[in-house]
Amino acid sequence: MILLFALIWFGLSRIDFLRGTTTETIGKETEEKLGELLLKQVELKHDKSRNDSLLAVIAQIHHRICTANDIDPESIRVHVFKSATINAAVLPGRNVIVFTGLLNFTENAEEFAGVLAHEIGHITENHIMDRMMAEFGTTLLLMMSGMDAGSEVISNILRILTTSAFSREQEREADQKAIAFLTASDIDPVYLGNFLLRISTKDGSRNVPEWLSTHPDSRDRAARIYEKTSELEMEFEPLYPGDWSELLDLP
Amino acid sequence: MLKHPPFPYEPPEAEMEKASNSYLMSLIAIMIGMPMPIANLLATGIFFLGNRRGGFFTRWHCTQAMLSQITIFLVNAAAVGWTLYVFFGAGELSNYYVAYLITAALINLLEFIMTIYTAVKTRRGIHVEWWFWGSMTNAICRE
Repeated sequence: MILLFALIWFGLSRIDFLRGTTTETIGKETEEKLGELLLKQVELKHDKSRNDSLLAVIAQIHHRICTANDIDPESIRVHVFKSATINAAVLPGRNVIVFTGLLNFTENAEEFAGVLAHEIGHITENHIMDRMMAEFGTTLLLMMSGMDAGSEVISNILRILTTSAFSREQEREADQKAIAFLTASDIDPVYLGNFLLRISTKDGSRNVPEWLSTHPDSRDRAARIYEKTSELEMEFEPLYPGDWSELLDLP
Repeated sequence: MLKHPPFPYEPPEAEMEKASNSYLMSLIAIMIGMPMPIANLLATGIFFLGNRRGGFFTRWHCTQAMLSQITIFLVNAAAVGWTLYVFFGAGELSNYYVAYLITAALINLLEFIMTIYTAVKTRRGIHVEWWFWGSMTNAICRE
């Protein structure tokens, strides 16, 4: 009986059913498709920023971080949306969304670069799909099999991705990556610590920034970043020589 | 695959019904059993325990139904486990995995057909011994 089973199994396994398809290729396609769907949902709720000067500076920072760290800048897209929400998030398909509320909360370009480097860290470490698999495993499985997820499911995924937290381990990894990315890009990582410390003071207040709910333990993380950066013996040039808050205020 | 050897006695109506029901139990549970293979095994297991003091014909067929369900359970549980490992763990999608799913599906289909056939035959009092499981049942079940 077992022999017969093994024979049928072995015989069938000689047939190439997959023709090069792997979990990775299916996962990549699903991730890209899902990313597009989620971006469309964000676009329905928020207008894209038309502050071209700001967008140009953001593109420069994005390019600088990526090229200094052997990451293809074209493979990661940064989208800036108009919203008072203090938040930035990673969406599947290597997309980073940033709300103008978060930009307005930053005091200089270095702080924004720190946040961006942290989000890129989540992308390079593939945290987003690990989290998607953990939170929406069955839904993803259905999507992989070609089923239409429906707009309600997409909205739900978007809500979870922009309001619920990564694990502490993933946050720690993304912070470590961010420090490495920033240092390699000649950007002072201490500003990421400053941003985290400042945002942590908002915890418990009436308007808790959403970035805090997706990125917990900001105070501890800031302390870790200060500890790491204290070992650095480097001089950094200012990232944006102009007035950052003036740039943010442009229409 | 299926044999119809003579049974030591002609089973009464009540035994024929219970013997046939032992196979029907696994069919009723099949809808739940697809994603949760243990459901089929539980259904036949409970029926087996309920009839372990019944007539020999009933006991014999309850045992055969349960033994076949244990095999199917192991095959399906491995399929579900492997699927979870591929999609939620570190497992890779491979030809061995696809081939296993097809083999498991073929065995399930074969078992499904044999179950319906045997349920019908035993209801008429005809003794049906399955290949492999029949011999195992003969070794376990005594008059």
